[in-house]
Amino acid sequence: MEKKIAVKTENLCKSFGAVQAVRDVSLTVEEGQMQAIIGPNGAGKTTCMDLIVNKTPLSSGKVFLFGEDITGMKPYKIAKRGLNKCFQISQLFPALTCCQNVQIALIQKLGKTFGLRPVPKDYLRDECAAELARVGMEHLLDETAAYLSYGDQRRLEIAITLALEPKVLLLDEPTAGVARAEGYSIMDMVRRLNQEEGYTILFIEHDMNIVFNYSDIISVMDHGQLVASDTPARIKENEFVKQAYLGGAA
Amino acid sequence: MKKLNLTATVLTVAAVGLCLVLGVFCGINTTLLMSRIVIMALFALSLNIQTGYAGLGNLGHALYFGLGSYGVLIFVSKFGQPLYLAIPATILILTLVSAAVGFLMLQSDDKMSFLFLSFGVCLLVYTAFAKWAWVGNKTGLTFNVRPQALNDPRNCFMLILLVTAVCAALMYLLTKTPFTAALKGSRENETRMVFLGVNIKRLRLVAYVISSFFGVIAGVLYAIMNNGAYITSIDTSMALEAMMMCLIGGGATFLGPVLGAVIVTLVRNFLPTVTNLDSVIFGVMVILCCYFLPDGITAPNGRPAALVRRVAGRLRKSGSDSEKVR
Ligand SMILES: Nc1ncnc2c1ncn2[C@@H]1O[C@H](COP(=O)(O)OP(=O)(O)OP(=O)(O)O)[C@@H](O)[C@H]1O
Ligand SMILES: [Mg+2]
Repeated sequence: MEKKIAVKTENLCKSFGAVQAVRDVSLTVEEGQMQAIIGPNGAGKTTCMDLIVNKTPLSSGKVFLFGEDITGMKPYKIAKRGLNKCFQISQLFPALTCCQNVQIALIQKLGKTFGLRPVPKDYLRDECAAELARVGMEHLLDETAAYLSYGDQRRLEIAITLALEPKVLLLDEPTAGVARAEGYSIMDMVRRLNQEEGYTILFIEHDMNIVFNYSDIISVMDHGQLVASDTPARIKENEFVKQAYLGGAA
Repeated sequence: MKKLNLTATVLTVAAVGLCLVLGVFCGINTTLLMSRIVIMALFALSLNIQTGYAGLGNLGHALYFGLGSYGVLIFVSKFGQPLYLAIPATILILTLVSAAVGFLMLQSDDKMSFLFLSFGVCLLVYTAFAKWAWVGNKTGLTFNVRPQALNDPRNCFMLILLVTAVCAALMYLLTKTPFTAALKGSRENETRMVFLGVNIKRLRLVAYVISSFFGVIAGVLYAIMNNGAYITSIDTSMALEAMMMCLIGGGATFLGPVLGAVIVTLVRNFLPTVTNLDSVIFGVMVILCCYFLPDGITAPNGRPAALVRRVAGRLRKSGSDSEKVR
């Protein structure tokens, strides 16, 4: 049976002045798939993801979410449709506690953002604790986000996004700057989301071990272009990848 | 946390009691001063929905205070309507106006542009009213709008206190809603809010309208208190003063702006009676406050709060020590 296509881009282009950060990228992510984007620094991976969620306006091209044309749609509307991104630089509410951070996301998911009826102090607290437990942070419920370790901030960033129950989850370097072991535990969690809860995931990653162990499809970018997009086994045989990552001519 | 709430409740009740005593039993001048303080407290609380909870600086909130006063006077003196119709009509119309004005001002997501737009709109209306003979140019409008019973300033004061208490209670309840949680989110991190799927413009607009609504009520009370509407009420320096109240009192605590209103109103009304350097002193005070108390007097992590905690801790300790001795 044909899998549904979750996200599809057609000839995405973005220039910053003379710099062509993204060139003709046509990417396809199937529903239920876990796809990685790799590429050297400055290859345009982050920009490409930002174009998909319209954080950065695109120069040309088209973006589709489950067949719907979302090109140029307001970012909050795209997010509302279930395409949610975790940023390379964590976007938290620094002065608020972890619980409050997640609470705001839950309020939005429940459609209560404009709710003008007073709620008790422990409103959604159990639900927030459950969300934080998904990323192994339930013990930090009342910790202020600004005081968290870098790794925990990354986890909180994921927890906030997961609280929305996204249809498609975009992760920009979820493990960057995190200790190796912790990076693996984050990726294990992400993989579980994909395999057990059926999340569609597109993630950017530099660690080749993670990329080859945790993805169904790997897309390779270089100089703003999509060089290849294939299964891990076949990507291992790709000339460019061999050159750039797996020890040159060997 | 429970203990803190209790302290706040006791303090609030004590403050309202003190207000009542001062306003009713201490002579006409005190009654008038107290009326003014209470109205300013309401005005500052309404502004704090924007500055404190939404993180939107506004230098033109006087627009709604001033228009609230003018609205009542115009309906009563120009259109011959009774006060009980003039008040709801003024509040309704101006709340609708605030929705339209807010919609236009919030077209840009930039907080700085909102700040200056609010200032500009206020200045524009001020200038128009100052040159408009129908509303009395720079002298404003005076007319006996009050019912007989309110001619005694003490009765008037009690009405002002009552309305303010009800409005404050409503605004307090507002801080306990999911809406305010989201509003704080938009203050802390706009990008995150947008990518959670929140329409930030709409969120801010609702906050702006609610804030303006209560600002209008403050202006209406001021009109009743004075039997008049004055051009100084729309003045941007009035708006600036309200911002000062929020800053000095502290926007992170619900009653912070009330404390700010008490301090600023006292300073502004009392200092000119003893010296003509009052503006200089006020300016220095603001500078010192910004320097030493950047988040206001009531900031939970500020110096005064730390002092209160230390004193409270010592009292509790000496209390338990003396118990041991016994
Ligand atoms: N806002 C911007 N203005 C100008 N140039 C930009 C902007 N954002 C990105 N670029 C440029 O676009 C190119 C791609 O950047 P991008 O951040 O997408 O790379 P990346 O693949 O995510 O790299 P990294 O692995 O370091 O995160 C770079 O050359 C960068 O300098
Ligand atoms: Mg990047």
